[in-house]
Amino acid sequence: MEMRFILVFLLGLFCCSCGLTTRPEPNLPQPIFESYPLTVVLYLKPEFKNASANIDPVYGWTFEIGQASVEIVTKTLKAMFNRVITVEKITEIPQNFSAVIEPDIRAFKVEIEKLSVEIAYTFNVYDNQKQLIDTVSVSGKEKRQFFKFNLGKYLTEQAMKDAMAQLMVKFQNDPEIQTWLKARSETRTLKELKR
Amino acid sequence: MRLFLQITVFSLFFNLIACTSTHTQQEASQVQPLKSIEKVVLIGDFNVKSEFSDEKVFDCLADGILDINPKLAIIKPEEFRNQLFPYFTGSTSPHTPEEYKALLNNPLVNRRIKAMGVRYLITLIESKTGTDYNGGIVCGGSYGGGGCIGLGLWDRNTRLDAQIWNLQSGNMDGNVQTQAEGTGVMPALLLPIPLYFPATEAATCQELGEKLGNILSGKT
Repeated sequence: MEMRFILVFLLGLFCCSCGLTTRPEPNLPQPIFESYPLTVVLYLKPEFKNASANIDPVYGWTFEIGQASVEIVTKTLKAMFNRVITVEKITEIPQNFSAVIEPDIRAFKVEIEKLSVEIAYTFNVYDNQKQLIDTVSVSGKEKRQFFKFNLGKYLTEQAMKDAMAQLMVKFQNDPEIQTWLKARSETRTLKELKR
Repeated sequence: MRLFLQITVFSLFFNLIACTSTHTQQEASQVQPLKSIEKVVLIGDFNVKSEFSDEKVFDCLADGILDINPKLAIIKPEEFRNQLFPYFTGSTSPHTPEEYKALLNNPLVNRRIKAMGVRYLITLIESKTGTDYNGGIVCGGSYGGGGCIGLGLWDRNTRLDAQIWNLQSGNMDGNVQTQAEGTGVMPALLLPIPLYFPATEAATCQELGEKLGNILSGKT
């Protein structure tokens, strides 16, 4: 009974000042990253773009994670590649591109008693023949030991930022993607030589 | 006169058992004193079970370091992590010498660290606070009144472990462990009266900060 009271109290503090809908507004610092000279298509599926998580059915506390994820994924890919073309339908995918990146939210977990938020994404990376190169999985987590104004929103933004950092690092170390990138750069060099 | 004597004896007794002491172990012979243009950064480690977030690590250690040497330049953790994004977030921070070296081999990271002038990164890898209750207080009551009698004692200890990473070489140049122990006292004569709370966490922070200040100033 006492534990239940504490949880309700924590929930109150967690959502205070944000009403019952939390809309994260994640920021991305200017990364140290040498961007790839490629044009990629960011395919935003409706279920990704409109994703929301209702973490407390009793109080109806909802996190609108889809729009925030669109913002931070777009910013991240723009830092990673020369050009990013965003499409919302497969039919909108243009002719000249190097890869299609299709993000998805795999999990979103809020642990009120631990004051922590975790978000996991998968990124399907396809080549220009629309063949899957690899799926990159990342997960970001943030926890705090103290209460902060609008804590749930803050933790979600930090977890998203952490996940994007992991995406940038994993992309550079993923063997499948590195093989593909190497092949791309060799093809380009050959084309440049023929010219 | 007799009451005064009793109070004095009780106070002396409680003062004897109520105290906080600190111990430190360090291995930092590789650490060179910071030059005036070099900086140090204090961060927490998200991957270990710690009660210390970045901000708390800074609040805990910065005062002790600056008490020893006010001229030492300390970079705030958020500034460091943002400047080195995506490499020092919760899931991308290095933890082993191999990981540090691999990261420092990245020319972009190396250049940024040099531009910032960061020589050492101090990370708090463990923080633990524990409490053991001893003694006993008995309380009772009836329609005529009530009260407590006894002596409540609790031992509290805090331990902090810090590692000093050299961001020029990628080596861990030193580590310092500090522990503080104290006993809290609460006598009960009709009512329980808390006389002493051992502030072990604050004592450990101050001690560790001062040790790090000494190490970074070449005063070991």
